[in-house]
Amino acid sequence: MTPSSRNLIAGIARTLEQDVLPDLAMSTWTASYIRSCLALLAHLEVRVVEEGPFLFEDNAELRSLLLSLRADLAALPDAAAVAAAALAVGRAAGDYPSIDALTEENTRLKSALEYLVAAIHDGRDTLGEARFQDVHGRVLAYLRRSGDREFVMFEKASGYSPL
Amino acid sequence: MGSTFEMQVDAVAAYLSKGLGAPVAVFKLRQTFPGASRETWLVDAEVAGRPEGFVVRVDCPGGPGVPQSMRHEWEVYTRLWRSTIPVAEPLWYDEGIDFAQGRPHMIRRLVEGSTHIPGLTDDTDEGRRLRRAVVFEHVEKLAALHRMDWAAHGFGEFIPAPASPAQALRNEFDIWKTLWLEGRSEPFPMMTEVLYWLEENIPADTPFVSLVKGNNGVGEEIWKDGRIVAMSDWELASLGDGVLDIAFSQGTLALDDFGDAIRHYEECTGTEVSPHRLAFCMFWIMFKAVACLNIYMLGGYLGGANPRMTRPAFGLISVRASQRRLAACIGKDPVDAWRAIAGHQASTYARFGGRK
Repeated sequence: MTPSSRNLIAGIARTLEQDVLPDLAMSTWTASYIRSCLALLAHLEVRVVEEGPFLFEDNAELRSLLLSLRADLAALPDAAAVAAAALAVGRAAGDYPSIDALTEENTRLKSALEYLVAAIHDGRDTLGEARFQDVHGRVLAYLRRSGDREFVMFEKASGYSPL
Repeated sequence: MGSTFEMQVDAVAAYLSKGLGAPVAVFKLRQTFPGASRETWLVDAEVAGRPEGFVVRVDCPGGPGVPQSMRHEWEVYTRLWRSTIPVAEPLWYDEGIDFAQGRPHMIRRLVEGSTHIPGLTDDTDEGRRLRRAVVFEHVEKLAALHRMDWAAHGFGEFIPAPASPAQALRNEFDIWKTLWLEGRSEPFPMMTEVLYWLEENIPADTPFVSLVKGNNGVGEEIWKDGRIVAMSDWELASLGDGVLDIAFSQGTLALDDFGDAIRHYEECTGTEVSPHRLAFCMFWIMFKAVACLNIYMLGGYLGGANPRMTRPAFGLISVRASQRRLAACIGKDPVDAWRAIAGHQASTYARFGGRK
């Protein structure tokens, strides 16, 4: 059986942590570089498995959110146009999406959402309080869900010192 | 451990000889730890037969972990050297020369003392007394800095000052928001939300504009016989609200009772620190750390100029963890929000066994 990427990364980390780090003085840069690597390996150990599903799911939810925002932000035409432009770029159906392609799509959609967040706050008076609360509430709910999903890839790593 | 950017004893000796106009023999050269925003190298030497110590402060390959230039830090040192605030004597600044691969750097004298305070983390009555004394000494030095007449010492000549004390944190917010929007590595819609939340809560009760040190605390300053004899690492010095330093003490002011530390600061400065201003500054420092780690630490790695993994470890993992903590606070009153998450910051000093 071929060991999985996750298994190998965990093995490298274990070797560094148990067999290398104890031989180094704690308050040295040499030990610190090992600790930095351990933190990143803890991140990668989860990321190699979770990144694809995370991006796939996040992109789908982002698209859905931008679609609904485009309709609800008619009073802010620039914002609606940014949402429409981000949604206009699609992925060819049937292609197996690479991580790079999913990342590129996620960055494009998040960039549009970032613009919309500012537009929603700056256009609060134009939107009216009820519409603002509704739209802002949906954006914040998505951002928190997305953050929680993404943090799965950082939870173990954040237990390590990066220094 | 060797690397392309490691300082070499012979090169340092030759450079110091040239700068001092006297023969310099270097006996010991070591980089301090931690301290990732700039490199600090301690030099034990003999100048014309006399033992002397120097510090080489130099930008990391790929640039510092902060927006301010090395020249900025140098200008801070030269002015503080003429004040009552204790700093090491700055000797010279240079950049773009053969030394240190052309990286901007400054040379200062080594101050006798240590960043290490023996017994500070001991779980004994003596350890507790020591921690309280250390906290109060640190508070007193910060208060003296914040009460210093910065205009008379020329800090307004190179640091943009807020128009009024009430504008101090607004000014700080505008500067860093611009840096963030221009430099972040990728879109961060959640951080945009965080910025709007912070903006809604900017306090205007800053009593006076101060020279703010930036990162401070045990592990940064030089101690001798229970006193701070030199405040070091001024890379984030700015003109603004002194409470930002209280929020950026990296766990030092929480070594003893944090409330007592604040009350002592209030007595030393003769002004009140409102809970709202304190809470805002705590969150603001979290945001500034995210900005520095993402823009400058991760940026130096992504640009290929600094391959050390410290940078992505900070710029990726620490940023995501801080973003998550900040995200949980959006919409809340900052004082309530801070009470809910206070205590998550461990002392950097203690984490590394108390030795820098």
